[in-house]
Amino acid sequence: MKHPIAILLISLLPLQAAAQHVQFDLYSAMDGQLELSDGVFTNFWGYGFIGEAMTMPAPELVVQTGDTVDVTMYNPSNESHTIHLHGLDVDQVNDGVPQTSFYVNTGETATYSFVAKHPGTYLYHCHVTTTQHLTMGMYGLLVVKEPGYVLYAGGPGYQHERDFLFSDLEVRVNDDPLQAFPFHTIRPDHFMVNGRSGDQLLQDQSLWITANAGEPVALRLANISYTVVRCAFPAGGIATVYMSDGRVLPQPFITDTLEIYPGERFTVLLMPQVDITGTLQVDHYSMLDGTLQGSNAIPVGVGIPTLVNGPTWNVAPNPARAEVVLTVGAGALVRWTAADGRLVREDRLVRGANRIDVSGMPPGLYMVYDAHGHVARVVVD
Amino acid sequence: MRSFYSAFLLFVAFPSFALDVTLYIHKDSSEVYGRIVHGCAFNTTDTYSSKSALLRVGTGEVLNVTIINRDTLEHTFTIDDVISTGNVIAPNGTAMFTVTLNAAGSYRYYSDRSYGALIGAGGIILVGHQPYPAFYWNLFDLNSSATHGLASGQLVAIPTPYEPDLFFMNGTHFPFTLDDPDTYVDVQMGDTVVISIVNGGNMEHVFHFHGFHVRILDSKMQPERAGWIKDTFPVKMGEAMTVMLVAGQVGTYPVHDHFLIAVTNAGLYPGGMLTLINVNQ
Repeated sequence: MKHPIAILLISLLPLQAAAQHVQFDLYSAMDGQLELSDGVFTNFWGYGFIGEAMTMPAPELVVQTGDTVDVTMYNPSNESHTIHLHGLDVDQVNDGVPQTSFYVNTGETATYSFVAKHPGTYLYHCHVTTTQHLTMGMYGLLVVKEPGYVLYAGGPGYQHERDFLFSDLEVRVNDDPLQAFPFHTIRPDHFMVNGRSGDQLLQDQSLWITANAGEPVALRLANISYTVVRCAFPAGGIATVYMSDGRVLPQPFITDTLEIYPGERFTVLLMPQVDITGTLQVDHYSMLDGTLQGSNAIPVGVGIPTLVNGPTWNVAPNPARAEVVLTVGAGALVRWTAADGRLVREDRLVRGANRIDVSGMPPGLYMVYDAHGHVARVVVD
Repeated sequence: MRSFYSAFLLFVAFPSFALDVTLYIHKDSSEVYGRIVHGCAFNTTDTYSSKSALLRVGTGEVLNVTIINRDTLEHTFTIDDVISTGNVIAPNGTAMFTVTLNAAGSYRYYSDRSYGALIGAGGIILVGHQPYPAFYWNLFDLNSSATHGLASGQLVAIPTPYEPDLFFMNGTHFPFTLDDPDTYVDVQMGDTVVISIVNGGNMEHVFHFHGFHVRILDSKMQPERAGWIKDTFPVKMGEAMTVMLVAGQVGTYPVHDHFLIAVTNAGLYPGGMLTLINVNQ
């Protein structure tokens, strides 16, 4: 939560805080630039906090159960926009659908209000020409937390938390929004976790899932993409699904994979039983024919004090086919784990370049790490 | 306030012992946003309509269906896990079927022939869930350029990659969904209604409710989700499911596919799989 008023409010809250009034001040804009994992830059539209840069996705809005919330949006951009509070069951005037609520035209400011009745994971997004404005990036997470580090009143507690918003875009469209027409031709070709993808997920440690064995991690998962997201949880971490769309499920269930359709949200408690160096695999499948469209992997480290992609490590080539050269600043014993967390090999490295034969390894993604917090992702193809 | 007894909806008040229905299989073409669409449907009258019949019976009630096939190709009367053999209706022929459905919920009936199922020949049977009034969303999608070949039998499968350009609820699309009393949910504050949803289309869909969460009562494809309270849920290919809506706040709220290319007509927004819930004071 970045808004100063919200920060102040939250900082004053005891564990069982009384409901507060929370004010968010946003602006909409259509001039964002986003760097994708393959080095391609494209345009995006979105929201930002007043006085701050616009982000992809839009800033996460965090409130607590019972809060009275005002979301004010100033629209200085050339097109009309709105904010739809997806899943919050607000009344018609606050619904953000221009035909049944109102447009926020260029130069106008409007406020959407609601009471956060149910803890859970929600979305907010523009509902003007939605097919286009969403693929351009006008969306963000809205989380209603139950005070006291529990998922809901009387529900299980957690020690760590991560909120992930899965989305996608088609560069052709974001480069030139007029290419979105006719709308049924949109076919996403880049897939993101909180606006990042591929190796970008390794660079941003705020996205990594880290804990010690036995420490529950709350995962709030939301899909605003044009594809079905299938999450595969790492082996050794028991994933229990407790909530969806801001409601407690009649029966929580344990699973190793979870499908999330566009607009759906889930709250999962990950309870790592053992040390894990793996990933939370995020695959995007076509709604049209079920084919795999793209993947991301969120690093998961359990029992490893710090995951650091150490500056003294270098991996080349990557992806590797027959051989990979690991160049390290100090000798170390390194372990390789597959994407599902299985330990597949160990190598003792010396300072400098270490040539490692990977020709017999199955193609896939591997995490290579030592006992000092260095980690690298190696792809064998 | 809409009438729940529409011309297309054959409703028999509970309790009843048998529902006798005559359906006509028609195939014809129509123009949708400048595109010629060839369709096939089970109609309640001897005139083609893109809206297939919506049937409601009580739990355990006998359903006697007489089907008159006006097509020059044979069709079937298929209900997944209920009737899949001995169910052929000859070209220009007539056949009778008796079905008893003992489990409450939504069922999809359809012709399993490519020149039927792939161009919309299917409807809904809602069993039980009385006394609640019911609405029906029979979902279908198509690539209009392929429908001529599919209708004639020249194509036996949808060309790949699938590129749908039209998206229907009960054979129509927004804004005309608001003219169909089975698609447009017009209720009074405090009403409890059920919505029977079938995906007879060629891809997956996902529906999002504004203003409300609904309770999933039953689902053929995802039975483990019965009892879940959701505002967004998948309607997978072949799915037949029922949700319950309690109209708890006054106003007008959209319900739509959140796979957002499906809320378009021939590439224009808004359209397709989009309707409204209107709750009157």
